Amino acid sequence: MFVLVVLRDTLKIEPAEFRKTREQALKDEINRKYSNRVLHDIGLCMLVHDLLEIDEGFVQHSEGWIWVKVKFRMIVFRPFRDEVLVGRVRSASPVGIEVSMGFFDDISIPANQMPVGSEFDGSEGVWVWRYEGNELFMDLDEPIRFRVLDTVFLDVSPPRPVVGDADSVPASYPPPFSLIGTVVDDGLGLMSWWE
Amino acid sequence: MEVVDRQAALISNYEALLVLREEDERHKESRPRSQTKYSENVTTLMFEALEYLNNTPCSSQSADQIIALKQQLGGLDLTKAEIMQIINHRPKSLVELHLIVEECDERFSVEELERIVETILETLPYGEAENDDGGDQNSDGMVVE
Repeated sequence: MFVLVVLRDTLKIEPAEFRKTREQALKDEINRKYSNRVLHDIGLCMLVHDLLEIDEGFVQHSEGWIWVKVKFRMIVFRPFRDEVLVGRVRSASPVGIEVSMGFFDDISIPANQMPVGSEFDGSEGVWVWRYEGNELFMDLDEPIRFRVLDTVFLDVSPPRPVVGDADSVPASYPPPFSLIGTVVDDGLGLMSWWE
Repeated sequence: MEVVDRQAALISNYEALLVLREEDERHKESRPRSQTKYSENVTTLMFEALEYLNNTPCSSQSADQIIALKQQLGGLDLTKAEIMQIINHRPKSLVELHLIVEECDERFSVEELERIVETILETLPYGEAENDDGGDQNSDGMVVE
């Protein structure tokens, strides 16, 4: 689920941060810059794990802060293919279900990756798996276990220029990082089915 | 920014949780009137990730338990990724173990698999699951007395 990624960056330490130790100031700056952000082809950055190398800082002409080159290890959320994960059902529709892990929401399980014999129940608004005469409902907010089929990175930078007035800005952009999952296998699906 | 190594290591949920907890403690300790302000992206991520991980088996694990489990499973032909997932998920039944271990049936006998589950349950104790003795449940999920 989590990997360590080694990154190198040149970071700015503002004078207000000078009273912290150099390491702490750098860690705070790394988290401020990277935490909860997606790096293309890397994954979702969590927190800095540790610092590997800190170069001497330098002050540039006419600036009041220090620039420091630092090499560090970041904890990154990037599941591998076929990894099994647990989340909660966020929403359901005829095209499949959306799953959330709390800190990461962009997980979808398409209709063709539902267990054989499942269908979307339009009146209840949930998926139902008919198995040996039982009706197993995939209720919203229930814990669900799924397998990662694919990790999809979408290069969303640079931001597109906004044309026209602010109202025309689309409400949502496609996510830069999303997971496609499956629940076709014994043991997958709602946790309560297998207990 | 430069990516030096896209994957230096896999780390377990437990190790990620340790870093999150440590950072959380530090945030709590900073006095409310101090000038230290943590940016919203950091606090949001920490809140959500802690909430998620605190509800998974890694919340009650310790470094000793994980080392012990790795030693006990070391003799078996399991891949690193499989051991990592065993630690994260703490499979408590054969069905769950099958999901994690690829081509389980060809690589291990049923007895071996049962022994793996037993080892996991012993080495990584985790609340709630223990008192579940598989009592009769009807399809509504209601316990039959």
